[in-house]
Amino acid sequence: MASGVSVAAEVVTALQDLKIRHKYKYVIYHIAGGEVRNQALDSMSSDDKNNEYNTEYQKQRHQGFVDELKGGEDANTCRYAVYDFSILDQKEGDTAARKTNKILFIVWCPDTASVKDKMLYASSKDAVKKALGSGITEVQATDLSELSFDYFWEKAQSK
Amino acid sequence: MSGGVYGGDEVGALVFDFGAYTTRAGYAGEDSPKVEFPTHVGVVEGAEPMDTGATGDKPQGAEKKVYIDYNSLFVARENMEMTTPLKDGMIEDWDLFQMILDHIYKKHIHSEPELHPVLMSEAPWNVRGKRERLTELMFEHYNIPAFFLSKTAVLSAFANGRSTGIVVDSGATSTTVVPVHDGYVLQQAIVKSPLAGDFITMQCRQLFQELNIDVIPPYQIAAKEQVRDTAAPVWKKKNVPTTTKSFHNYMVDEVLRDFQASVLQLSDSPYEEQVAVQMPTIHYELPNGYNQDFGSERFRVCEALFDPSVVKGMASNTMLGVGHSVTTSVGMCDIDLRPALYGSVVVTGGNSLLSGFTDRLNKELSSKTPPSMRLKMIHNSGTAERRFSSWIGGSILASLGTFQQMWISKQEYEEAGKGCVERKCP
Repeated sequence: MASGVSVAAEVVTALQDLKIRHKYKYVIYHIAGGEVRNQALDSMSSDDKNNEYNTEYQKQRHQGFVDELKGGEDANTCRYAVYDFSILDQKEGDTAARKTNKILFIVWCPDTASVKDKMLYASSKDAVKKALGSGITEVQATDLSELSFDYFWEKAQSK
Repeated sequence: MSGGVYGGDEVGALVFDFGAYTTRAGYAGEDSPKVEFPTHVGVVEGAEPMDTGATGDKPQGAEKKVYIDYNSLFVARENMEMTTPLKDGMIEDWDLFQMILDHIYKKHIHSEPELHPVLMSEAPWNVRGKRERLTELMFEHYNIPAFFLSKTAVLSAFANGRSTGIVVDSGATSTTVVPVHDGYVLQQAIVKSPLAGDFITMQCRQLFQELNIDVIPPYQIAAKEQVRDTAAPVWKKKNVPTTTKSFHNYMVDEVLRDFQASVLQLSDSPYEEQVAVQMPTIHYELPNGYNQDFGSERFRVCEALFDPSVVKGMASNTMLGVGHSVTTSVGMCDIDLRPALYGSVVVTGGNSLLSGFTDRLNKELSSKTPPSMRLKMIHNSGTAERRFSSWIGGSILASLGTFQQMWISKQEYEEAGKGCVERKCP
């Protein structure tokens, strides 16, 4: 069942730019006028490219993303986002750390959001996911712990 | 709440949600249902047709009179049997169902059915035949302009901001656990258990029998006097017609339901007599004036929700406790899906408002969740949100501007027939 919300072409273009051309670190989407649209595009800087697997740097970058996604202290709005998450991953038994890149698809529905917002974003998620295609890992987040760097790391590792 | 944020063209859709205990109805876009009344109706067979000005609606040719809604239902009448149009969450008695709909349109909506699209909730396990029959009824009989059927579990999950998750709906007749993935119900993994509100009511009834206390429903009481703790009640019987057993039982259950909501509490961990007796007692007064403190009983009675083995007198006890139902249902789902399900356990339904219900469930599940998975329970703290979550979900959905293209329109129905409900409303 879906809400009938459509996905604008720019959403898919932005994802392609993020995924293939590494133009963006993350893209935040919102629903406006019955359509999913781009809200914020965060460009990949040369610093980003040089520090792609620097955990400390990525943590900082991540914080910036969380702040922008939340959109202010008491915004309480739902959002979607795609995020180019890169980590240096060393599992037990691995001799060397492996570079891992995952495109995360974040569905941000804070518990404090209005029921109307939650309903709208939850029921439209399927359409966005279909438009984005395969090769992305979905993260449903309803509170800050589910937006944390560690939680994303966990998600990026699975599968 | 204005529905126009997303360019929504206001269509004045109606949302109906038939529960085992009460029925909810109202306009889409509003925060809470316009009307809520018992799904149970009173039927008097072979009554003389007369117009009392009450809400009884008499279908043509039928020799019975039907009483719907609090005002006419809670009056003691001779030969009035209490009955419900639903069975196992699905519509069983279509005549009664239609009468309830008529009643809502006439007494509460005060408008013509053909002016309003209708979104109706249904049990997640509803069968094709009944869905088609309902679609047919709405279009042919009520002549509505558009229709949509939506599963309660999906609406509840959406209203809590999740499109994937496991919905624990503890209502009156049953506690159901329904996994939802991307807005679709995973039919094969639904777990239903009769351990729910009505079951607890039954347990309360047993408790009062054991304590040798008569539960007198308010309709039989003319006057009562203040008495001391545990003293014999002093009250005068009201002169009422002889009622049927089903009516009397329903009224007793109403008292017990109040008792349930005000006194009972689930203990945090499996029930232990020693711990329970140290908990604070709660004072409760029955309608006839009898009053006493309830101590360990508060916890003992509802323990069965989570641990069915404590129920006495059930020989082959195969029922699943609430916690167990959840793990069983998750266990039936694809292994890749399980982390996402444990990550969003949505708790809803009137019975989940029992004090301590969510805490206990959280505790049980955290001990059963595999260590590699995170457990997160989502439950609304508001009473209305918990009881009406599927109605509220439906209300928002139906008021979305973009949702208008999802309805089954009258034209579509006329072209494709009733079978289109399977395609449009999966």
